Amino acid sequence: MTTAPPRITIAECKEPCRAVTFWSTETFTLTIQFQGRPEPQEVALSKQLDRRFGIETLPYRIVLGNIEVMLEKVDLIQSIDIYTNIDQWQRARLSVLPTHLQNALVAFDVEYDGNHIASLEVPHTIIWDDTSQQLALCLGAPSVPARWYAVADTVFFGLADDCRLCEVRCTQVAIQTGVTGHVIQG
Amino acid sequence: MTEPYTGKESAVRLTHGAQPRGGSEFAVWPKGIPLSAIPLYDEETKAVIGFYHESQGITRIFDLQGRMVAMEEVGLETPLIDPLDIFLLGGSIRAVTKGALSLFSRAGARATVRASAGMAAFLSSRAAGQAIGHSLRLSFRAVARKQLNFTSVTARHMAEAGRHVPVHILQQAIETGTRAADPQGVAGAYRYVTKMWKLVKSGSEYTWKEYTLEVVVREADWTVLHFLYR
Repeated sequence: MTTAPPRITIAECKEPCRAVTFWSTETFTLTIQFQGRPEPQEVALSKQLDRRFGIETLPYRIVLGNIEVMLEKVDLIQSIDIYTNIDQWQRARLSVLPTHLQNALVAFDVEYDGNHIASLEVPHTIIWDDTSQQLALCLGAPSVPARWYAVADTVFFGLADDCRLCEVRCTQVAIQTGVTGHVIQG
Repeated sequence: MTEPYTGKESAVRLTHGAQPRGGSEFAVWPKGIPLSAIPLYDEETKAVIGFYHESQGITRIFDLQGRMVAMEEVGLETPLIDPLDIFLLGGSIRAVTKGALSLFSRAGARATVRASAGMAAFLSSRAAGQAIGHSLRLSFRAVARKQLNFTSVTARHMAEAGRHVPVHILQQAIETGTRAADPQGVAGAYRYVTKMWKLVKSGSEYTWKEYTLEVVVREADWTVLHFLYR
C-alpha cells in the first residue's frame, strides 16, 4: 500500500461537464456527482450495443483511503464519494483559484485488478472555506498544486509538479444539515 | 458548528430493482472455517452457500453460519469419474477453489473443478447430497432473510455494479467482522471490518481475489451508513 496520491494524465476537453457537490446529515457522505458530459460517438454506440445484447460493462473504481472514485471509463469520472463527518473538516481560508483554467479529461495512473478496482492507502483532509463556500479535498502530504485543471464547471484538480493529484477543489457546495443537524457558520 | 449529530437519517429498504444484474460471486469465510476450505456456489441462489474442507482423512461441509452439516471419512480410492461432473449436492452447487488452477462454470454447464476422494464420498449418495444441499440453502436463507436498512446513498451504491455487495455478505461482515466505533464519530454507529473474497475472471478462468470489506452500521435501526471493499 502506498501513501502517495496517484499521478494524473490530462487530456484536453473542449467543454466541461457539470458537477454538483453535496453533503448531508442524512447520509454522512460527501458526493461529487458528474453529469452532462457529451459522450463521444463511439462510446454512445458501444453502450447501445452492450444494452442490446445484455452485456453489462463493469465500471472502474478507485479507492483512495476513504475516498471512492467511480469511473464509467478510465477517463470518465462518474462520481466521487467520501463517507465523512462534517465535524472532522478543517475550517480555513482557501487560496483563490486561477482564472481561465484548461478544461480537462483526467485519467488516474493506477493499476486495476480483474474486477476493475484499484486501491491506494492515501490520507486525506477536507478543508471548508465558509467565505468562498468552497471545499478542498487535500490528498497525501500537504503540498501546493503547481497546476490547476477544470474537470467540471464546479470541480478543479490541482496537480503537484510530479503530476500527482494533491487537491480537488469544489465550488457551489450544498450542505444539507436537516432540522437537528449542523449549521455551518462563518 | 453548533449542534451535535443525531444521525437520524431516514432508513430505506432495498427493492429488487436496487440489485445489479449477475450473480453474487462473493464469499466471507465464517468464523472457525479454515481459509483452505472450498466455497460451494449454488446456481439456484446465485451465491456461495457453504464450504467444503478436507483434513487428516476427514471431510466436512459447513454452512454460512459456520456449522458443520456433514462429515465423513475420506474414501480410500479416487473415483473413476469426477463426481462433480455428474452430481453436486442436489445438482446445482459447485465447488470453487481459491487456487488459480481451478475453473468455475458460471453458465451452469459442467463444473470442471477436480474433486478429491473425500468429496467423492459425500457425493456418492444422491439422497445425502440433496439433504446437505437443502441444509446449506436453509442456512443461507436464514442469513439472507435478516433485514438491513440503507441510506439513500448506500441504496444507490447497492444498485451500482462496481460497488454492490450482496446483503447476506454485509450481514456476514457484521456477524464475523471486527467491531469498532465509527471512525467518523457518528453517534451509535459501528464499523465492522472483515476479509471478503470476490471471483475475478481471467480469460476462461475464475479465481478468488481477497478484499477488505468495511461496513458502518447505525445499530439503533440497523441502517448501513457506509460500505466499501478495497
